[in-house]
Amino acid sequence: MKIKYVELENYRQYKKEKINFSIDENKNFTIILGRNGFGKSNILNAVTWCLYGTEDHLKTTEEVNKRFPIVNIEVLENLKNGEQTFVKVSVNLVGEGEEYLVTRSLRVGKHSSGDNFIDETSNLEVMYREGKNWYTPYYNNPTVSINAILPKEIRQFFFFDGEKLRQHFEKDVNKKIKDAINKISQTDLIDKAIDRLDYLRDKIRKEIKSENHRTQEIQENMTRYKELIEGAQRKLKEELEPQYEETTDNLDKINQKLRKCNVELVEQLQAHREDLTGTQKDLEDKRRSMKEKLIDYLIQRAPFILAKESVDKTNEIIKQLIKKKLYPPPIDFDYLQKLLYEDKECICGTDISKGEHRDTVKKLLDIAKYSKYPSKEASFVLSRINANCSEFIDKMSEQRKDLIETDKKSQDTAKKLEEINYKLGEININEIKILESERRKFESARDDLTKDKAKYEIELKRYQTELERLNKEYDRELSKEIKYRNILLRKEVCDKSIESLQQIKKLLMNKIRLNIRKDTKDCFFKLITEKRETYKDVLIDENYNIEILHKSGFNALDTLSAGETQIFVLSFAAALRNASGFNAPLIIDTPLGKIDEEYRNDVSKILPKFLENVQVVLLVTSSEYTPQVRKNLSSRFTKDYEFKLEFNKNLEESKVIPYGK
Amino acid sequence: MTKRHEVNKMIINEIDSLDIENYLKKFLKDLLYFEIGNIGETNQFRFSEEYEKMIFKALKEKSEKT
Repeated sequence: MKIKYVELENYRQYKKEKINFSIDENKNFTIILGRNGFGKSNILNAVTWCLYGTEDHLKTTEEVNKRFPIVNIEVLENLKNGEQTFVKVSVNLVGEGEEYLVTRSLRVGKHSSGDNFIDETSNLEVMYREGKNWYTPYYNNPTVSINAILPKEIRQFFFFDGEKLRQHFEKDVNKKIKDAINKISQTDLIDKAIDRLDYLRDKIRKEIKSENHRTQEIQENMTRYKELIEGAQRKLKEELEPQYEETTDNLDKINQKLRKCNVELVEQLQAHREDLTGTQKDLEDKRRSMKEKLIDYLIQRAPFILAKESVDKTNEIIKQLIKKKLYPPPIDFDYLQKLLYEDKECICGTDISKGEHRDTVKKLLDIAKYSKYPSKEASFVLSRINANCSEFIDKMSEQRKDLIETDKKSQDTAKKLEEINYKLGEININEIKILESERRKFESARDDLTKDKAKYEIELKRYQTELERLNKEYDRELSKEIKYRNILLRKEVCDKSIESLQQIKKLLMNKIRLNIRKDTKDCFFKLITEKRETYKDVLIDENYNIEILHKSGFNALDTLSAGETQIFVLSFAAALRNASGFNAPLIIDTPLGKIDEEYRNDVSKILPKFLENVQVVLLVTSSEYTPQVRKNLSSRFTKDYEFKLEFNKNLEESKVIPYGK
Repeated sequence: MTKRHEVNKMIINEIDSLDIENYLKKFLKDLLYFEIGNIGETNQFRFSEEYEKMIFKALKEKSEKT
């Protein structure tokens, strides 16, 4: 899918503007040059607002954003009392034989009292084109349609601000990436088949009219647990997860506002608070993992510890046997074997080749056989148990010491955070007071939601386990009645098929993850020509935690320079695009803003090379768009898609005009 | 790389590599081909009817083999 145009009406600096983007495969770049405050980022915001209802890239220092959130100030001021109008953004998307028009609008206006109003919810509409006419899809769920084009969770890898690239790998982003990859991997075929098999299994079950009291009881319980599972899933998916996401977004926005509020002390304290929050989260993760390790160690060592008393007693018995020269056994197995099969004569000269004496020696050999090897094995096992027990206390104290230290660090950090919260709460600036109070509200809401989510997740797991158990019990009960044999066979096909499909899905998701890892790594190493030797590998684990391994073995993700981060994000976006098969456009605000001048040239040379066949829209400032950068990109755009922004302060209006004008 | 038809191909390949009985492999493939050919179809009743037919076919095949 490519964006053919974006149309803005009364949206922030734009009164009525239509911006065409290049959809040419070879000349795939569109450049929009603009000074800070002229509305560059708001083009990006307009796209995310239209598609997802969020403005991800607000520059809070801009006066216009502070005064009114979304509508053009002049348009609003010129409204008479009682009049209303709409803020509207349309995005026209074209793909292979497909064309969609996504429009989001929001009612704003003036009450008869003269007070401004803005509706709380916007209206979203998705239309598709057939010939000359536009139609609404029959299933008419705009959000689903948009997620099929580009899921909300990974939008930040396609629509992003070059100055805020680090946020791509922060906090809960990995979970969002994992969920989104589940969505975009197009393994929905498996999900559908599982759903239908499940539906069918229920239908088959209902054919059974058993008179067996226990079977009926189990069936009723199964229905009840199914309802409980559906309820918990609904609660999580439709209520808690969206609320959690919204609350986290709001919290992030407030943090961002505090970070750039133009009050030096607040900016410093906020930066410190964010650092400490990060440290606190790391410490909490460390603490959790240490606790898990400690429990694992305890479980692993428990049999040895429990066996300790018996082992000591055994050792004591062995010692006594040794003392009495009864251990190791006084009969040597090898010697007896030699006598029996080679010498065939005892040391006393008795013939043992046959007869009663041979049988006696054979019996001795049998005893020796059992005592020789076990005695060696036993000493090994006993010494191992002893070693495990003796190191147990040391290892436990060591691990406990580390845990106490981490606990202490975590408490210290929490104390420092409290102090910062207090200092920020004491700052007597109205705007800061409001932001802090909002922040506290969202933080507490987020903590409550985290607890609620965990509670429902645990309950869901419990219900699922119980349902599984009931299912097995139900089958066992039914198998006692021959008349249900045929039904059970059909049900068994459903059971086994569901299990196989779930297994396939797991395997596929793993393969897709490994593909994403390989593509990201290949692309990243191809592009960081100069520092190729510095990094060893790119790792993406099952939870989509990303690491860039430095040649010395540590994770270098947090130490990447702005240019390297830029390249890494682009590499990851390219890998995501490959994995999903969606050819979504890339819109990058200030793509070279944080990159040093000498590196800027390299990146602008590299960008077109590996963004072939990808629609790219660059929103640049004049300090980024140097003559050299322009030259480097020139093979990828035509003058029809090189624009600049003009801002008329009196009219509070930005216009997109051709670059050369 | 993993566009829809490639994902479908991967799914079919994975079925072959599973440690399950042959009749079940065949059933799963039939079922997925049916799904691929009916993308967008939302009539749950029609699907369950078709699935039932496929199950009967699979069980018949299983009993013939044994």
